Amino acid sequence: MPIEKAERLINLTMALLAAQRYIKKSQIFAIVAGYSGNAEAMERMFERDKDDLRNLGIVIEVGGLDPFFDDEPGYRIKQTEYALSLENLTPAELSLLAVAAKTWQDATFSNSAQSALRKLRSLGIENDATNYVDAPFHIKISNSNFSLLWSATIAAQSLVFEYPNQSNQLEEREIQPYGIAAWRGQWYLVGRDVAKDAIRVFKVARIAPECKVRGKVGAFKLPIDFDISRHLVMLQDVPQTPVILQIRKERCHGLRQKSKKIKHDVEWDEIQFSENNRSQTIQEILWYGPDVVVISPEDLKIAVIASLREMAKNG
Amino acid sequence: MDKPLARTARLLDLIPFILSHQGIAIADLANEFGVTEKEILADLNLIFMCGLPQYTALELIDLSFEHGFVTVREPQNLDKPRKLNGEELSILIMGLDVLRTQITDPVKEQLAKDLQIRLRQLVESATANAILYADDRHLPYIETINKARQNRTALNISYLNTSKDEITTRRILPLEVFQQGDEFLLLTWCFLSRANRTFAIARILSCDPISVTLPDSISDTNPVLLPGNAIVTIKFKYDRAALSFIENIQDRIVAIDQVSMIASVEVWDSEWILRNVLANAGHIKILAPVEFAHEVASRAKIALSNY
Repeated sequence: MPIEKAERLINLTMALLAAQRYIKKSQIFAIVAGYSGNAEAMERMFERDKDDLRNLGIVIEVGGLDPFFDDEPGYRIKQTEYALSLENLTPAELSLLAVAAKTWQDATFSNSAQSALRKLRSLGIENDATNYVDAPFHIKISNSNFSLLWSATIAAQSLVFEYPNQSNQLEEREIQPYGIAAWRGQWYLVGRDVAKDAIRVFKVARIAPECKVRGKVGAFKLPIDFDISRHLVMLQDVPQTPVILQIRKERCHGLRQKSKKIKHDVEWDEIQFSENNRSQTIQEILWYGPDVVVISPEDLKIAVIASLREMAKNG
Repeated sequence: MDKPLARTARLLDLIPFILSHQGIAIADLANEFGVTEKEILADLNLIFMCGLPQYTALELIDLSFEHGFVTVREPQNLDKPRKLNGEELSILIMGLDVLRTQITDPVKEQLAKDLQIRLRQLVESATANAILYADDRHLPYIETINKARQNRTALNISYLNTSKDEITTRRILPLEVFQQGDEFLLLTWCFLSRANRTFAIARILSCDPISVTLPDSISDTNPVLLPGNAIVTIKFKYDRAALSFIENIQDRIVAIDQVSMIASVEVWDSEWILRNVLANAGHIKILAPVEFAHEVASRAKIALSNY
């Protein structure tokens, strides 16, 4: 009865893991259960099997048996390259990792999160379940491109997608994805724009739906000093500006929550807070319409008045 | 991943998992690996045939799974779990980032930070700094909410309704906390409306546990849509500066033309759309119904009269 493919792959993995020295293909065909047929058939089978094991993340080393002769290469799997090595992982650390995996209950990554957790739980460490039960929150991702963007980033595979340019026209871009980041719930792809030969940041929500991969896995290498946080402008320190507003009594609860009251009269309270995101502050002020008046800074006041004038024209 | 390859991955993972859970029930094993008991039995039978070259009884993997419980007697050289792949590592590193945004205990914060360093050492050096989850918003009452979720107890909350600019009090049973778009949401069972309700956690102004326990029968999925006023369709034109607003209301948009930048949304809370149009002043213009456009302009004029 022919041996199932999965059985052959397990036998091959075990044989290569047990090898002290590189094993030649001919030896593999002779000793590993599952290889049969003529030489060409076995060759093809072996090539496919190597690719399959590599797709599982198993590193198969190829090396010469004798450094002085250019003979047939041999193969082996190093135990250190195969096995999960997180030495001295404590129960508390394992529990924390389990909770970290639980943040991804969204279907996009739940399988990988589960499998990571299973590998960790196979280390034979007791879980400290009393300390950590669930993640503080779960991330839900509804973007249809996200999974592809993520896997292409991890596999170092180029992406091709349409993205709105300055005039809001969709433009095709070929990107080598270097990394993915989330800031305040919004996702960003950072990568090298092939045509512009420069690193660019893309808001994932703005990438058109028909995103595709192009070329091979492992097609590019990241710059050795790449650090995604340096490319995200919102993570850079911005000085805080004090803002003083008048807000109507018993109104503008959202603004009240983040401010301190500095003055009050019969109709208005005067509040103060610090801001470092001007457009967001303008939006918050405009949200409350006639119930808020900007006292300072002057440039904020001017911006709010200009926006209100624009809006008043549209009636 | 094709079926035989997925099965190979499962077989390689089964042996160290059983080794660390000796005597596990077949039903639990099937549940853990997300397959049927029949598939797990087929896997165990196949593992039984695998081993090291020579394939005598001494070289084969040895396990027993009679009476519904599984034990590995001889794993040969498959006793260790496979190393984490790139996706698994990335998920854990980012998951720890997520935890770090909310952890208040410095000991746990340091533990999470140290773990990230260790995991990053397992990633190819250049990709170690390629993923990041950052958020500077600490969620108030998250620990109280999650404790109540775990114990299935109720909470009294005061909640800021920004559309109506009012604070209300509610008795809720917290069911799930999740981040969707840029908001952290709490799915609850609301005693007042006797239905599922979702609240933005940032707008919970106070949160106190009360001794009402969640009956097991209450579902924690399939939230019911909010009822209320009649649904109104608002048509508006927008510009690039309002793209973030458009992205945040994706699920309410019923029609959009991205070239002419005209969209229609269905809203049940007219105050919500009016305030959003005001907040995006100059970047959103209501095209219909015309009364909404007049209302926005009127509010802008009153606001201007304050200066």
